[in-house]
Amino acid sequence: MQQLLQQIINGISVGSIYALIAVGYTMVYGVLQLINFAHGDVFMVGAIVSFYAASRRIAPTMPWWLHVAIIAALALGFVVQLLIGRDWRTALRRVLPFIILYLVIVPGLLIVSAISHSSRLGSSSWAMAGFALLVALLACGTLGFTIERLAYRPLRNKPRINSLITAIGISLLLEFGGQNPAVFGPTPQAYPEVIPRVTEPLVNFHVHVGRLLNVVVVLTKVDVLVIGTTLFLMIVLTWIVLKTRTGLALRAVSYRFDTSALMGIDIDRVVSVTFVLGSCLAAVAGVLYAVKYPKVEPLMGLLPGIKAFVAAVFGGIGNIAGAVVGALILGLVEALVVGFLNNGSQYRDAVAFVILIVILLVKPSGLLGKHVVEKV
Amino acid sequence: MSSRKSDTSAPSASADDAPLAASTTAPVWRQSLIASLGANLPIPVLLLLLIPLSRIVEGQAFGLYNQRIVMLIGFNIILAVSLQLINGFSGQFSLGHAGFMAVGAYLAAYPAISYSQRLTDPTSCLLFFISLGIVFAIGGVILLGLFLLIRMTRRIHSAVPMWLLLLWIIWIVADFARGSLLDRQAWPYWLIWTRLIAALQSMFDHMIAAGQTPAANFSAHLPVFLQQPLSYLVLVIGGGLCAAVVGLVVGMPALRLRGDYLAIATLGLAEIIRIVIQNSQPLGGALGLTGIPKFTDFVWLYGAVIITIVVIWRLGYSAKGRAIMAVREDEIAAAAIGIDTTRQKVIAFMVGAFFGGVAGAMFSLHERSITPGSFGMAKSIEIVVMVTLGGLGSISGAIAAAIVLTLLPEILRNVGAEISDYRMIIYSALLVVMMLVRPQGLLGGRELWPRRFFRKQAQPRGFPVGGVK
Amino acid sequence: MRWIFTGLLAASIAFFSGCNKSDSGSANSNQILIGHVASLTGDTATFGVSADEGIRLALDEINAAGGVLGKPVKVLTEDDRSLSDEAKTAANKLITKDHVCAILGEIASSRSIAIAPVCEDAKIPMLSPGSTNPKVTKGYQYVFRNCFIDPFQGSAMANFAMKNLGFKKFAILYPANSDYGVGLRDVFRDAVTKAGGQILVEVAYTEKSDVDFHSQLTKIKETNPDAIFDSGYYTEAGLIAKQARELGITCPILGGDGWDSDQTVKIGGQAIEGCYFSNHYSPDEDSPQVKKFVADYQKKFNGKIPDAMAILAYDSMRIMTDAIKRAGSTDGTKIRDALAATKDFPGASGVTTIDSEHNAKKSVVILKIEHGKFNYAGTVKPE
Repeated sequence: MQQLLQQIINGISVGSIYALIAVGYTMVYGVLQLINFAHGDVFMVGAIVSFYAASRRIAPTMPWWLHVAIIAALALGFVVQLLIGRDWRTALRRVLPFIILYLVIVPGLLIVSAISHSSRLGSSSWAMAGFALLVALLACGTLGFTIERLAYRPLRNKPRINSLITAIGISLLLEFGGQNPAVFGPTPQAYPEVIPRVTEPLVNFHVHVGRLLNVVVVLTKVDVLVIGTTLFLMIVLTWIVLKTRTGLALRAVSYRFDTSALMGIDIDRVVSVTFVLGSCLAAVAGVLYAVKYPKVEPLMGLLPGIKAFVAAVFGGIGNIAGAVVGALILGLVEALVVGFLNNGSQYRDAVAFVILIVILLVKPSGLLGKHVVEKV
Repeated sequence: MSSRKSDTSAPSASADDAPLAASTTAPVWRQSLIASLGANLPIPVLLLLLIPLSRIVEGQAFGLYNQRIVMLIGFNIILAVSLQLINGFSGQFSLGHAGFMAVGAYLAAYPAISYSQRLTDPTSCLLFFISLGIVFAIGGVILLGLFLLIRMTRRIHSAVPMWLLLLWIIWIVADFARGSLLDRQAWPYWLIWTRLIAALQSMFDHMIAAGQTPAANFSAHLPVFLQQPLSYLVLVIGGGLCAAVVGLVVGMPALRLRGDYLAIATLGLAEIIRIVIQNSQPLGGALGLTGIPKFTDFVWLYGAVIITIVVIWRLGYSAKGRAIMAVREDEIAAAAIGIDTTRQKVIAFMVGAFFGGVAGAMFSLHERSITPGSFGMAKSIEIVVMVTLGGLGSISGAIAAAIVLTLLPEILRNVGAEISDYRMIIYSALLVVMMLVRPQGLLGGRELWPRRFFRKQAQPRGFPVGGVK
Repeated sequence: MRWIFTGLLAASIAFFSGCNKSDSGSANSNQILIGHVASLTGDTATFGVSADEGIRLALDEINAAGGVLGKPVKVLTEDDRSLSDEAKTAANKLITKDHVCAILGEIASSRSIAIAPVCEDAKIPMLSPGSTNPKVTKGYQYVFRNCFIDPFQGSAMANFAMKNLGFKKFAILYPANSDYGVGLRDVFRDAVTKAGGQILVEVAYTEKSDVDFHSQLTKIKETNPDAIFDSGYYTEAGLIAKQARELGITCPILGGDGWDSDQTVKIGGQAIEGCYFSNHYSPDEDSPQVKKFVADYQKKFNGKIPDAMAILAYDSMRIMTDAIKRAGSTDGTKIRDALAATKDFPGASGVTTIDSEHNAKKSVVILKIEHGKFNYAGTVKPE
């Protein structure tokens, strides 16, 4: 009984992190019908960037070749636009967001680096944790925005399989780019303890009911942090989706893509917002994950990403509440499989795939999703 | 050479048709014999060409390093071409080709290690595959029967099968759970799944034990020069067939899904195959199998390459291939003109899986040791990259991409020392750029040589040719 | 497009063959080439880095003394990113392309097992500095190792834990996808049961991909063991210790030589204090050879304290060159015979004799983690 309760807590804690990632998947799918394979890697980038921030290793300037590469890419983008017959105003407008982004990043990096090196932050404090989180949010938001603009938008009217391949490509690019020694390298690094004594038990529940039940269940600070953050972010997200104009637009786009454009909704903006929101959630998940399991490496997003995707499908892809429910169930099932099955720990990673296939075959619309008939 | 000629002389008097027209007086059987000989001629010629080529490749001057790369290219060609049938021709985007490769590799390596150390015992290998087939057929029939029974309950209420299925799964899982949760002794004998599996396993063991001595005796009476090639063939084809069966079992349900869902499902299935192998003790678990005899050489491998290309070429560009392609172009329209779409998909899936398994079997009999890690997601994606870069629907594109993408890292390695760090980055960047700039792949459904090459019959005039866009 | 593509294909093949020709000529006979397959990056990066540093140190000494057979020695190190497949590719490349006359490496047993058949087929002798799984050398003619094997290490740890520390009941946590971890688990289990102890539960995890051990540890906590034995590598060891303390498991955790890395303490922090692991040597050892090695190493590598992989690789390099010297040629078979005949070689990590099973007999050192340092806790000598 004691084990069961503890495993449930373990499961919910892991499930909460899956939930944060899964929501990103589900939002993008809801809007674009695209499986954003790179989402798990955005999560990884969040963890790694916050690792650099927390260990005070953010350089004030980019290396010169990165400047050259970015400027060259911007120029190339502009020229290509001209070459395919757009007038220079349109071309400029397409490239403009990236120019602005670049112009913001250069001083931004300087500021962030200066802050990260300031001694007032403390190496193990809530302020440092908040700062690391903020940097991760900024980085992932930018990354999500860029990925969508560069890789997915040009393919929006092409067959879905093309975007899927691109998404796989982006995912691999981030993984192997991160494995490059110039970026991070394949060696795992220890994540610094940003929040003081975060892994210590916060509460020891002594549940004592006569002779029937006498158990001790541990709830650590980090578990509370993870579960609490997830809960809070889900409330915020629900508020955004249900109460704001952007949320209304988001719902409209996910309901009828083309029709909402006819109704005057700026679809491009909505899609960008979706990606940025999803990526920010992934960044939060990445930081929490790294705080909970203090080891970061470029491949760390692979399995959580796939599992979160499974959770999203399980709950009904496109449905935010479904993603959360699916993620929690997945986390629970994994914990229980390890706890109560013979050699279960060896099959933990298979559980997600089995659930995926069973749900795809039995109820492709997921637990909370509604069945949509594909039209000709 | 001849192919180019026939390509340029598009009017009806083509090179292949001319002798046929001249011999109209000959009986029909002779006509068809000549026709088929003429069309099939490139294949034995190519196969015979392999022997002098093998002298070069396996010679001292060529070097072990280059020889290894040539072999790797061969494996990749088989894999890419077979995946091309699934992804390019039938349009079912599979991300799990390494799973089939793993099945082929393991099920060829296991009997080779256990029953035929020096590959001298083809009959025992055959016995292994037959026993495996029988056991799995029995298990499959039981499972299928139960499944159908559950499905029949649809008549009571449409939701009943789903709940029964769920219950059934929970029941199986619970059976595997530790005794701490449930008292296993309290279950009736026939309800226990672990016992069913144990019974099937012991049945398999009995079959092998009973058959092995006579099988070994039989093998001993075979001519010596036949023993090794025969064993090898049995292992390779057996591995391929096992992969095809897995393809069927996996494909039947998975092919109900479309597009990206199917991609994810196949990826998941390949991962499940890998994890199951990783946790199966007879197959060496995560540590893999070692001590596999090495038999695959240049002639065998490239013989298989040629056969794979020819078979898939003929399947892809035959009437059946048209049906497969129709499914890719528009499934609903294809169904409307009377094509059994599921059937076409399953055919493509099974044939693709078969050759994937063959490549895996040959790979394991070349590498001497295999680990489940070699058949992970990265391998699947590597094959998908080859197919996609070459152009979906282009066999020659897949071949060329397999060659280029196997050579590319080696070239990079030769140019700069540490450039292998960038190999996968270049792959992935290529993939993205390709999709953005030229989504149909380099060749985009066209072939490097005319389609009639490798084909049995000449193309009927007036049939719409040209790349399917 | 068709012709562009064909052209591209032809060009790449031509380029490739061109490249190779120029390359094969560079196999220089004026120097002796030794290959080193190492995990310079990846999950067990410190193994490869330490081993490479140890080899560089030995190399400097050897070349300063005039090289081997009158020629300078050159070591080519190939990184395998801590992956078995890459290790195989690296070994193949070293043998077939660079034409090395011997291979050093790997440290991790899984990767040594992957390389062994490659070396065996090519008749190139291979000497692993620190792979302890018995399967590494078993049945091979050309594969050797310069360290003890797991049956000895596991029983040493088990006996130490039971006799010196007084533990009786153990739980085992092992990586199911590593030869090293599974092998060590088996010998530890056998040694404990033989000595009258008890294994309460064995739980698996997946090396490299698992970071969450809460569920496994909860299962272990239920059985209330005296100590937990983790047969994995250092990356997981730190996380496991941390999460065990989170769940309120206070018993010490024991490990094998896979823990030997500064990362153990870095990741484990406060949680891993008071844990024990078995190792090949301790830098605090009171022997002149060790002292000299540690001093030289610290001088060359900015005061870094050498770990066991460094000293084993240092010795391996010297044993290998010694064998080449005795063989009098760079022929693989001759080096193999010389290597097999290695007797009483005065290594820094102890006097080394390679036995008929191609293993070296060395003592096991037990280290205790205290204040972020590995302190000497005891030695177990081979019988």
